[in-house]
Amino acid sequence: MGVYIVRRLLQTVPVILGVTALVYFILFQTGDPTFLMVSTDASREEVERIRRELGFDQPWYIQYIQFLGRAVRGDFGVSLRQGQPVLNIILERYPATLELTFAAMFIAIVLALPLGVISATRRNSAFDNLAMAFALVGQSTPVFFLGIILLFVFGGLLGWFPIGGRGRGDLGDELRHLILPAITLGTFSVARNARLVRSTLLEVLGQDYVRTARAKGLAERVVIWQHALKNALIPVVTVVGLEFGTLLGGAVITETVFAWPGVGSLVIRAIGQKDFPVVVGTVTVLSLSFVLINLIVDLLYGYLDPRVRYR
Amino acid sequence: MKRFSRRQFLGLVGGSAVASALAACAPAQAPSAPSAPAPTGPRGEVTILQGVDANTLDPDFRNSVPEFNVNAHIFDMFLWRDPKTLEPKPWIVREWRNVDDLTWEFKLVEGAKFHDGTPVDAEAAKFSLERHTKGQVGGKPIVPALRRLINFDRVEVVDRYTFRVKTTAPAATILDQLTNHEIMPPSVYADESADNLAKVAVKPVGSGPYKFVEWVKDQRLIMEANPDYWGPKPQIQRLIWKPVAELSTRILALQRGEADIIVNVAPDQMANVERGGNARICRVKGGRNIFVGIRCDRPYLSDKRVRQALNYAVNFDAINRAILNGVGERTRTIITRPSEQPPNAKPYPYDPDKARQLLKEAGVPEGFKVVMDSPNGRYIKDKEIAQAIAQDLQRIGLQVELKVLDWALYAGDMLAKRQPDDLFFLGLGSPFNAQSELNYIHPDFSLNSTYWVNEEFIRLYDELSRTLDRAKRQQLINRLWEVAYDDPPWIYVWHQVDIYGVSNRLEWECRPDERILLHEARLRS
Repeated sequence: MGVYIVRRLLQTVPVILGVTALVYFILFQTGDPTFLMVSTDASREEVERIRRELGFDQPWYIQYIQFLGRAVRGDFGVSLRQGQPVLNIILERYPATLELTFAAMFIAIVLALPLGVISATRRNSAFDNLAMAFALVGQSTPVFFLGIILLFVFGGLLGWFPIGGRGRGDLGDELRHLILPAITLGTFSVARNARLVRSTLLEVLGQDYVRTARAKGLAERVVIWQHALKNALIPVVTVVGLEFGTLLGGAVITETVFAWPGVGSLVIRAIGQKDFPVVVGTVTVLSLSFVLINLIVDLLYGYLDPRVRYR
Repeated sequence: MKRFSRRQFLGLVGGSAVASALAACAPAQAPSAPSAPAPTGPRGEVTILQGVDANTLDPDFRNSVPEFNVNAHIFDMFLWRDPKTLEPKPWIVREWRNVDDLTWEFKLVEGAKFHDGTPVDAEAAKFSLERHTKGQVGGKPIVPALRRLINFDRVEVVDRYTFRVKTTAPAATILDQLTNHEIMPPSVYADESADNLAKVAVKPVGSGPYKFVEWVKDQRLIMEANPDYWGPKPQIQRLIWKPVAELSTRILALQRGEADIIVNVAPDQMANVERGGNARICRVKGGRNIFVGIRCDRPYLSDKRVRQALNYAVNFDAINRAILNGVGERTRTIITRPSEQPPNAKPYPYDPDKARQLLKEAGVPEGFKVVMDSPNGRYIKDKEIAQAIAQDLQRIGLQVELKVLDWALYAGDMLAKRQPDDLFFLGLGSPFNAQSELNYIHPDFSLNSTYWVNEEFIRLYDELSRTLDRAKRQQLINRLWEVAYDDPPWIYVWHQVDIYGVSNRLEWECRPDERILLHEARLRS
């Protein structure tokens, strides 16, 4: 197991290298950031001088190698626009994004599991049809639209929740700010997971060992929740694990709608301002998170499916 | 109790001296007393929602309006700009005079202090201007635009509150420039170590009416009224600045009473803001000049008759009705300050027949193809207006291919390389003085990608930049605009209207210079 983990961790190196090189290359193709950094008062000579002094006159791969040289020492450079170390900027916002992602994930799992299980066990019932209709709508609704509607209804019309932001510290206020963005971000996952749980559970319920369990006279509740569900969850765990990474990145739109101060809104602004160090730093941190979550998901297989062995 | 607004205060104390200050070269005076009677103590809390957060509050690294808005409360700019006349007015610099063509003398108000307790004096002014005109701060490159714009040579301290700015050539726009530059305490900003620069970027110290309290990036920036302020006391105790990118979220927050001022309301959302009765719209014709640049180095477009035709072809009234909810007005002149506007300036009328005639005279073949670039979402309804203009141009027999690009690509690549296509949609914020505005079409201006060269314009402009006499300057400005109108390098479109949503509990008026200044604002009781 230890060797497996080390090997997987080593595999993250080429992934991170590939992702950052790609980001650097793409950013470079969209022009250098000097022009956006200076005011309209700048003369062409001044823009050129700043470009030279910041090293943006170098080819992209030279700049990339210089970035790597600093990054391995934990130095992602200084934001071109904020004048602060990039790592500090990211770490300031990362907890907000993690909080939102975990909350969305929590909603996705807590709602999807019972929805999927009940739909599977009461197949073709009114509840099943209703739940799957909800899943369809949930999967088809754009996050942006859903966010605005929720804000309008529950924030504006009913006044139950505050309009945007992250609250000022106390738990109640934080939670009130968190609920709408978490629902917005989590709805797609609820829908997808509920459908997945339903279909995998239906498949498992038809297998011999479930029939055996029933033949032994076990209560249906035990058959479903202890025997069938554990096996049905294996593909669900895979999807949920991958989804966590997607949610991390997908928080971008939700963060923008709800003025949520996470890395999503940070990276969007940094792309607009061509703040290269912040974009590359954020992408690196998000990629690392994604890779680590995948590793954790793979390790969870071992718990859920004893046949899986790590070498 | 009688209440004094800042404007009344200046009027009372500065009096006729203020009026004489308008003649840019004459001596000017402003409040000589360090403080005005505070009618009531500051009270309440006002929340302002801007589209984006500030990046940095270091005066020499900031370059956006949201950053200026924050700094304008924590710092004093050397001078104030009157929101109606757009003229520079006395502020912490209370009076000035021209000693000679190359020397400006300024006097500061006496007794003012920075928030760290150090005095606002001529040494601080010297330090600040020298920092603003350096090419690097702490080893980081900055644009010392001020050095070039005012032909800066050096600053001399005359006495504790008097300093002189020496220039290498006459600098008629120096007063305008000083409305945009902070006076800073050397005690805080002289240390250019990386640690200190990182610190002052997020914890500014100035002499302004509000003291910095807290900045949680991308969440809130809080400032409190400065009880020791040298000038008119602020009437609001606490200002909270928040970034909210999404307009519909800003509108909801305003309607719910969670915000008092919101920016960048789209014309078609004005009714939404006022729905519910909690808020009103404040609308003002702004300085942002929206135009379509013309590549004068391209076939046919080098002919001024073709460029005139493009101007005659645009049906702005239709654009205004269909896209801008009637809030717009076609550009009459690119000069914004009322006292500098040419008296006979008039917009290009919509005259497609004349446009076709001009194209015919210039020998432009029917179906001549032009490519037009437009950003998307950078300016009010930019893409939509560009589409409408493209249709108008097609109606006079041109074939237009419209290319819509993301702003980062538009500015960072195409404009930076000065290689836009035949026509390019752009907006430039105004410096509110004719000389700088006319500079936008001068071949030396860094963002000018028109490749328009008019020898008479260049000659007159050079003369303008060397002239201090106000009457002579106005003659030159009038002629320069005539040249730019007759031989247009742009399709003149409109000056963007700035639309704010304002809570009904707040007394505040919006300004044409995109600045949100709450120096005079107060909450209704």
